[in-house]
Amino acid sequence: MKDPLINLKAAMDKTVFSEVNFSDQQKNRTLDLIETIDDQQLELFILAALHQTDQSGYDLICWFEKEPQLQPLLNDEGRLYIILHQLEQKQWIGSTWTSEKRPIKIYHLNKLGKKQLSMTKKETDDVLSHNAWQLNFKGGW
Amino acid sequence: MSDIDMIDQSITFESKVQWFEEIMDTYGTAIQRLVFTYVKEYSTAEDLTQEIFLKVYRKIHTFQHDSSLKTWVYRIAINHCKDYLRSWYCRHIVVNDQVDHHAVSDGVRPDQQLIKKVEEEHLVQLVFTLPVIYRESIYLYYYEDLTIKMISQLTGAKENTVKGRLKRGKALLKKQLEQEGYHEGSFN
Repeated sequence: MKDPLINLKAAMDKTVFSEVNFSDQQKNRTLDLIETIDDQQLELFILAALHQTDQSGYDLICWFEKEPQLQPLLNDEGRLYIILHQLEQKQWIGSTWTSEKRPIKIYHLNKLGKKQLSMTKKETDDVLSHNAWQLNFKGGW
Repeated sequence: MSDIDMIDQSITFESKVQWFEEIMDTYGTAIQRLVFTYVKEYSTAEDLTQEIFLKVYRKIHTFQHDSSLKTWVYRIAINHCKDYLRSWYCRHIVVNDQVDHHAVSDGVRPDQQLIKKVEEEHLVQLVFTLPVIYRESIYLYYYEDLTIKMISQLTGAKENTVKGRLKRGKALLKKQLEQEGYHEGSFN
């Protein structure tokens, strides 16, 4: 018998895949969700930055500007302050005012924020690791 | 290398979103079909595809040029599917038997075109009954037209293992077809 799979592509396109297409609707739904992801990532980077040292919002913005791979996360600076506010409300971070003539708000990491940060670090990311696992074909599924 | 392979350090928020849209336009349907090949269920394939693209978006800044964009996206997709298949939810809740089965009708003598269609459906059906390691290799090789080397990179299996799986998968299919009485020259 010749290789029966030579025509597999055509056969799949005509049968089982005739209904499997990535629609514009799906695409738009996915696009709607990416803002949340940016916020989550920003939160994480802020926590990581505050873990190193206490900083003001302005310090954070300067730090973001120096890190090219972070810039696409920060569409506008206002967003950073919104997220800082949210993090304070969640009590992941706290803040104190300096005693200067024109006081500056300095943010620091709280216990909850430290916990959050260490939890995220533990989350092993095996997405790109090659040998993440081998399928156990005997077990089947 | 096409435009979407290029993402560099000067990326801005707008260009990131645009780049992400292009990735979805380029790979959306291919990824959804790949996912379907693993999970064999239409709505699950849609859900997982969305999760995969969100993962891609989340990881855009980790994309390195040592692999092509396609390799990178496919690897995220394949690992995501495998994670799903070994998840508690999938093993306990889902009945993975949703691929339409069209039995060969007997009685009436069908014309050639119909025979061909029935044979095609049957072949696809058989491929979907293969254990996932064989189905995966066969799909990537015959449907995606990828090299053994590329399949090895995507699945994390050694090249010889991939070759072995292709051979074994084909042998299983041939055996099944022969048992059912398909003769020399079928499917050609």
